[in-house]
Amino acid sequence: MNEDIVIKLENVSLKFKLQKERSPSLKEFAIRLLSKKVSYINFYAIKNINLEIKKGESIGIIGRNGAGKTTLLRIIAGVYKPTEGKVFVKGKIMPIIELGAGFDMELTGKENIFINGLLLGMTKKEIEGKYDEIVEFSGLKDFINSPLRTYSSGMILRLGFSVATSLNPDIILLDEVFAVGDAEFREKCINKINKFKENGSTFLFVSHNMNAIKEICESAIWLEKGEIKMYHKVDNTIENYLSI
Amino acid sequence: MSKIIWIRDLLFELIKKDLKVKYKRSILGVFWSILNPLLMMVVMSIVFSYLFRFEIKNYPVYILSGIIFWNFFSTSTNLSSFSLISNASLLKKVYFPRVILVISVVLSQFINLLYALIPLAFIMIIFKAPINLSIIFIIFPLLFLLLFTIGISLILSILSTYFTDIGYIYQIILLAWMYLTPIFYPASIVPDKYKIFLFINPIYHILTNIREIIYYGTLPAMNSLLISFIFSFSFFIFGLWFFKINENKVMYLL
Repeated sequence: MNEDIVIKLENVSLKFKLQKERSPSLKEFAIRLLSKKVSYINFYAIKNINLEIKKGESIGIIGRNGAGKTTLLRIIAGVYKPTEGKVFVKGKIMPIIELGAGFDMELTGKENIFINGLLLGMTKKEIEGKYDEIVEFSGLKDFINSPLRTYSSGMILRLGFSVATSLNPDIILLDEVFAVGDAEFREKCINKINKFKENGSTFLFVSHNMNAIKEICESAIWLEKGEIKMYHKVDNTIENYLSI
Repeated sequence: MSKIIWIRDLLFELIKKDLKVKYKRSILGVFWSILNPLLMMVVMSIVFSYLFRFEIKNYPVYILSGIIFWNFFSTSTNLSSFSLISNASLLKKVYFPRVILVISVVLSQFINLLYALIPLAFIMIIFKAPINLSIIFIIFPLLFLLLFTIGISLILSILSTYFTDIGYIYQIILLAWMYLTPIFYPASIVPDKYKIFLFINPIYHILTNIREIIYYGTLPAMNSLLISFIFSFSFFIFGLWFFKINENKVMYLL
């Protein structure tokens, strides 16, 4: 594998076997099984994707709802195993598919920093080392020992972003993170992201906000029905996507 | 190497979180783990020794040495049957060994069980139960119970992802299972033709080991200890294997 390539997908497909009518109840399933009415349809959430992403690239992913954007990020993050094909990922991943994985409302901000950091792959020692920096960046010093249920949603977002970015990741997966949060914090995030870019981190950014994508990414992938419809310079892809 | 440290830290922190959240808003806090079995013992002793008149000497010790271990098993398996479903949003965000989620639930209940051993020791002293060196052997049935519980929990956590109502059906099964296990009554009252149900019940064997040590103050019989070991170890291995082959498939269902 080429030295510079950090993410490589080879003929990756993710096939769901969907029951025509989903039967979450055992009784229903048993009845249908006995009357031989269980029928499946194969549904490709991701179909035959080949992709090579080099270190330091930042790529936007656009497409309609249900095109497979989040699924693609989840495959790269290792949450979903593809049913066909191979995935290679090199380096530490920061999956901000949504912020604040595992936050618990009853626990304090401090306790949540530890849980969240551990879930993102840091050891306890690493978190202890970065703790002050995380609290500083979040600007939540005065509230850090209060339970999370007393926080506003913006404060929770800030805490989540602060933990996630303390990871010094090689690969960053962003999914609609700027949907919430105020302008000031958004500014802070963009600055942080630009700093990561200077340090050579790789970005994958899913969004419906074309301006945000243009601001961060150099090229963009247009997904449709689980397949890559177009993969080109960001302006080109967006122009084509919007023109249909 | 750092991966092992990470998994250990994560497991440790999840257990801590479980315990913290459980008692966060209660005044007595962790004392509930000690008080709860005592209160249950009082109720059960009254119901079964006065109403049903089982002729068992030292009935409080007998019942307590059954109920706290059963409670551990039933609470752990019950909670873990929902552990993947209730953490669905977390599981979809980041990758970490998912088995940790189930094991942390069981281990935090296991710590509760260890707390419950305090009132048990207390009651044993008060009712002058025979206490001697053989008590060290309690480690074995405790370990077997832990392995068996993890095994069942892993299987249930997967099954209830396929069919949500498994979790509810299991509660009924637990109820029947509890009454089919000699927890409140002596095994000797079970008619011979039904003894087979005792034999196929792993919890029965583990409880027998525990009672030999705690209630009779003797060493557990080697052959019954071996049966407990075989049962619990096979369920543990089967559970791990079953979880492993299914964990990626159930992710899409969450």
